[in-house]
Amino acid sequence: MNPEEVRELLPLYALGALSPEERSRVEEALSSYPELWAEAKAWMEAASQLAEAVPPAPVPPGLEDKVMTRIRALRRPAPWGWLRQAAAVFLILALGYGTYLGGGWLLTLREPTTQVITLVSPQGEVVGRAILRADRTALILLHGSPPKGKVFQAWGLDHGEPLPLSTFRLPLKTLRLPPEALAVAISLEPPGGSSKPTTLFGLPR
Amino acid sequence: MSLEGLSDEALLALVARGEEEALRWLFQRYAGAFLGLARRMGLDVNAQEDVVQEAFIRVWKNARQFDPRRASARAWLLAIGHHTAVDFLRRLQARPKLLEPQADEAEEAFDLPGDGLNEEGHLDRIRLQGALRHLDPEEREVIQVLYYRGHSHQEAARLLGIPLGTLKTRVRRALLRLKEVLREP
Repeated sequence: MNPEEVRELLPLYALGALSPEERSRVEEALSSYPELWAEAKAWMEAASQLAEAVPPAPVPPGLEDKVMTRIRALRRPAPWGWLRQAAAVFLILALGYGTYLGGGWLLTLREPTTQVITLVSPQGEVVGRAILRADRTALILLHGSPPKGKVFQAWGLDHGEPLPLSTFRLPLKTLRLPPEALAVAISLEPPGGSSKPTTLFGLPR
Repeated sequence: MSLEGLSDEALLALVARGEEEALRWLFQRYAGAFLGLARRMGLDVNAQEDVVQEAFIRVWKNARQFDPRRASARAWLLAIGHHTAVDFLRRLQARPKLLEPQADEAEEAFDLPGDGLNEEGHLDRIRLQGALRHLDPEEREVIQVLYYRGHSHQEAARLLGIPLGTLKTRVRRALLRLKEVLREP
């Protein structure tokens, strides 16, 4: 979606008049076009007045407790959820690609020298994780695939300019970090990759 | 420390870090507004409560995505409440009726009695309802069909018998006029 297409849909987005799919597409595209944020904010403010014009209704007793009970139920399985997800991906890989990756990465997690880095979007949302081994090999696990026409690109981070590394399309990638890289970041790039990051996707937290 | 005095933005930041108490305060500030909106959109009592529960689950899950550069916390929260009610309406296919611009129904959205939960909110609503009455009938009609009835833009254009482009123009004009009128002292 180009900026003009997003701009045209913003008033409808603010009014809740898009389908859930269109709504997600606008939200996703907005992340890439900071120049539209002020405009989006203005439409959202105008639309919020329509909600404010409606008188609030009395809240029935017990509704707050129902909400909080559901929130607590959501929290329980959270720790190590991503690890289970990673294990599931490994299983699929093991079935599909034989011993390409092997089970070594899971065992690696037991090593004290292995680092697990959370990757977050510029908005602070967790978008994946990177497992870094002492031998400078890294496994990247991302939540989701790149949008159409884009690929992921890994970057080695040191104290200077980001170092361009491999591009990839699957949400899982192994790579070797150059010796000077202290951490890894992910961006979205046109196929073939870039020499400098275009759209940041995941930064180490 | 009580979180009562914190802004909505600060409470959302705490929710993003998993603070249940912050969500409880947001519930106390917004549950009534979400319920009122769901009621206004024609959902029955059970569905209204489901909307509130679902909306706060979405707030809990998506608080990390809130970005104050793209919306104020209040607008973001009200949009979540509204989007949730819209999704329920569409899922239940429980829209009250197809819109043939019926004078009394069209007026209803713009002539809402305040419950007077607090005087300041009541006065704000009177001001907002006054602003809505400044819209042209055509502009009010698109707001009614899209926002208060939860129709998608394609459905609304079909129901109103106008091209999609005309609908988009009216929406843009209606929201701009609303902003303009509310800016006047």
